This record gives sequence, C-alpha cells and structure tokens, in this order.
Amino acid sequence: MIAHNLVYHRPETIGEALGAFAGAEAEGLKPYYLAGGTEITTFSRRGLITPGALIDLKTIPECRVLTRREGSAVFGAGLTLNEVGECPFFPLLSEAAGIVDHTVRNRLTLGGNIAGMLPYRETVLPFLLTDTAARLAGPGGEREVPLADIFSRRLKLKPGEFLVQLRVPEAEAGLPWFRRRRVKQSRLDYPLLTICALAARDGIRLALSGVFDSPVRSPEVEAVLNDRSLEPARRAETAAAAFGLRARDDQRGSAQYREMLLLRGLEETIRELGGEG
Amino acid sequence: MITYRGQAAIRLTVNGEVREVVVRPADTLLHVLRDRFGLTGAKAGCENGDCGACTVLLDGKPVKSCMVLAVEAEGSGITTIEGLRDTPVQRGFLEQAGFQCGFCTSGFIVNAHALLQTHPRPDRETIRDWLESNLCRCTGYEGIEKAIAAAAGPRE
Ligand SMILES: Cc1cc2nc3c(=O)[nH]c(=O)nc-3n(C[C@H](O)[C@H](O)[C@H](O)COP(=O)(O)OP(=O)(O)OC[C@H]3O[C@@H](n4cnc5c(N)ncnc54)[C@H](O)[C@@H]3O)c2cc1C
Ligand code: FES
Ligand code: FES
Repeated sequence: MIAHNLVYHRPETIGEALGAFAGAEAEGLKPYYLAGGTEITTFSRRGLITPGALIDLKTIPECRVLTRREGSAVFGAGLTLNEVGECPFFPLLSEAAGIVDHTVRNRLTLGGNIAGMLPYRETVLPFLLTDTAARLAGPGGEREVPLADIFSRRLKLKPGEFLVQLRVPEAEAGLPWFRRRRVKQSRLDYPLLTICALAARDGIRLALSGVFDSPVRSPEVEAVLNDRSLEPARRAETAAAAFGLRARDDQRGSAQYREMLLLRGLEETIRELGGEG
Repeated sequence: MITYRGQAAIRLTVNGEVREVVVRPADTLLHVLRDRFGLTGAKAGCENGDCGACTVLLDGKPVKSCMVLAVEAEGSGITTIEGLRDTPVQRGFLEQAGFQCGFCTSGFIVNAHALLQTHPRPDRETIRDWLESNLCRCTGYEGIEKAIAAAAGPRE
C-alpha cells in the first residue's frame, strides 16, 4: 500500500501534461511524470519517494507513436517494452527490450526505463549507439536534441521537461548487431554486464550497462576496439582498461568478477562483429 | 484532462461488470480489488513486481496489479481469477495437481489463461517467457508445467 496521498492527472495532450506539472508545483505538490509506474509505485510503497502529483503520460498520442517516417524509426516514450520487443524497426532495440519478465513488460515503458532512477537503463544502450534524436516537451516548448547531448550517465532533462519520442536513422537501426547479457543467477536478475554493439562502416560501436554505476559509451574505448594493429585479445584488454572507471562491487558480483565478464564480453563482441581481421 | 484527488469515485469494469468504487488515487489496483470488491484471488505477495501472485488481466494482457494504480485501470476491462470459470487451465491445474499451498495459483492461472488466449499452441520458449513472471515456493513447477501443457493444444 502507498501510504501517502497524491493527486492523479490523466492529460490527453502534451500541453495539458505541462500545465498539470506547473499547476502541481504551484500548489506545492511534488509532481512526477507517470509512465509504466513500475518504479513509481514500488518506490512510493517503500517510502523512497513521495510524489504529491502524478501526471500520466501513457495516453498522450505522441508518446504512443511507433512508426517509420522520412528515413527514421520513431519510438514513443510511452510504448511498453513488449510493444518495442515485437517491433522489427530496430532489431538490437527489440532484443534489448527483453529485460524483466513478460508480465512486467506489458506495463514498463521505454521512457520510464531510460529516465528511471535505477542505474541500469538497459534500453538506452541501442539509442546511444546511433544518431538518435530525442523529442522533449517542457515549459519552454518542444525541442529536438541529439540524445547524446542530454544523456550522460543519466537522462538530463530541464525542470518540468519530459521525453516524448526517440527518432533513430533507419540506416543505423539496420546495422549488424551483437548483445550479450550476463546475470548472477536468473535471466530476470539485474545485469552484471549488458553489452550492446553495432558494426558500422567506421567500426564497432559499443555501449554497456551493469558493470559501472551507469550506462556508458566511450570514444576512447571504441578507438582501441577498432585498432586493428593490435591482436583481438590485446584489443579487448586495452579497451577494458580504457573505460577508466571502477567496476561496481555488490552482493550480485564483485568488481573483479564484473571486470572478467567485461573482458570476455569485449572479446566476444570483436569476434561476433568481424573485428578480428 | 481527468484529475482525481482525495477520495475519488471511479468506475471500473471488473469481470465484465461495471462497478463504481471510491478510492484514493494512491491505491493500487490490487488493494482495490481485494479490499473494496472483496476479490481476494489476486494475492499480495512481494508487492514489488517480483512474484506475480497479484496478476490480473487488463484488456486481456497480464499485469502485476501491485504496480498499477486503480485510477489507471479506468476504461480497461479487468479480469481476475474470479472471472475465470472452468477454463482449460483451471481444469489442468486440478487434474495435474499444479498447486500445493495455492498462494501462487491464481496468478499462474490468470497468466497461463492469457498465454493460451494469445498463443493457443505455444512452443516451449513462449511458455517459458510468459511463465517466468510467476514464482511458486512449493511445487518445483513440474505440476504447473504439466497443467499448462494439458490445457494447451499441440505445440506451434
Ligand atoms: C521486477 C523488475 C525488474 C527490473 N529489472 C530491470 C533490469 O534488469 N534492467 C533494467 O534496465 N531495468 C529493470 N527494471 C526496470 C526499472 O528498474 C524501472 O522500474 C523501470 O524502468 C521504470 O519504467 P516505468 O515505465 O515503469 O516508469 P515509471 O515508474 O512510471 O517512472 C520511472 C521514472 O521515470 C520518469 N519518467 C517516466 N517516463 C518519463 C518520460 N517520458 N520522460 C521523463 N521522465 C519519465 C518518472 O517520472 C519516474 O521518475 C526492472 C523493474 C522491475 C519492476
Ligand atoms: S505482489 Fe505483485 S508481483 Fe508480487
Ligand atoms: S503452491 Fe505454494 S507457492 Fe505455489
């Protein structure tokens, strides 16, 4: 049971959602945008957050878009992971959406996973590998910006802003891909390592989650991964070091274990995406 | 825009019947089903999205009702275990002894029923994908798997 009281808004338009957010703030109620609610309800029940108002984005038509237009695949932030998983537009994303269990995936959304508080945010990885544009709505109006400009460790939105859509160039969405997810025990566990990679003309692009405190893509790491003057095993080793970050160390896995998985994952990525030659 | 605050009267369609109920906007669907409607088939296990004991159908899709607010379910058709009568999955659970203490059973049945409505002849992989949403602490899953296999037609 969620012990505290809150106000619930179900807007039909972006403008209504922004108005509800501003209105709640003016009333002194802490507003949260609500998507799948899997994090908001469980965190509220445990008293980790106490939203004063929830603004439900799920029924705003722009947040539900799933289409191809003008050379891009467009994903609404309010799509559930099952809807994304069943969509053929971006095969690596469909695979990445296969986290948690089938029932939870009927509610959990793309926007909620990317904007959520837990450090994994696995569905952001495929987007980080492409020239994805993020459509945002906020008190200053709507804007479209490269996702890379607003995602650094986490999604950095302005106050009152929310994610409406993500737009991926189709040419990149169709690139050969590789994904490897390592967990402690069950497939449903949070990841010790999730690697997502694409084989582009200019070489392998790679982003990962689970090993460090947040999802990461690093140009330095990719430079090493694609340096064919080094033997593949040496490349993987040097690339792992090039992250320059400390691996997480918790009850799911020690830092040493995660580092070993990372090394193996990088070796596999090079092998699978033809980077050995 | 619809707004609910304080004590709000909403209409929910539960097992085909439209019912009015007064809720707090913070009330989860699980608690409203159990405490307001007396439909106690959906169980409060972990209330954290892990166990699936609270599974109900929203417009035919299984969801964990501990993570859905009752106000969010307005406008959707809600099906609980009480709304399923003598379905093949229920018969399968009886015939194959798919339960012991029964705490997890309604969640499993509701989920498996939705599975068979969507994939009448599911392959192994599809059964695994859907059913890993539910935990059982008694049976070791063998009886549950047999129950679902008995209810399903030949494989896809
Ligand atoms: C049992 C379980 C296991 C999980 N395992 C994993 C896992 O292994 N890997 C993983 O990556 N995730 C995992 N998750 C998912 C993750 O922890 C979050 O619960 C989930 O991503 C939140 O998505 P949601 O749509 O339910 O968001 P909500 O709970 O509705 O919202 C989460 C946060 O995002 C904000 N938000 C939502 N939508 C938007 C938007 N469009 N724009 C701006 N802000 C927004 C909300 O205000 C809130 O702060 C798991 C979740 C559960 C329940
Ligand atoms: S009570 Fe809802 S998943 Fe456990
Ligand atoms: S029969 Fe007891 S938990 Fe499943």
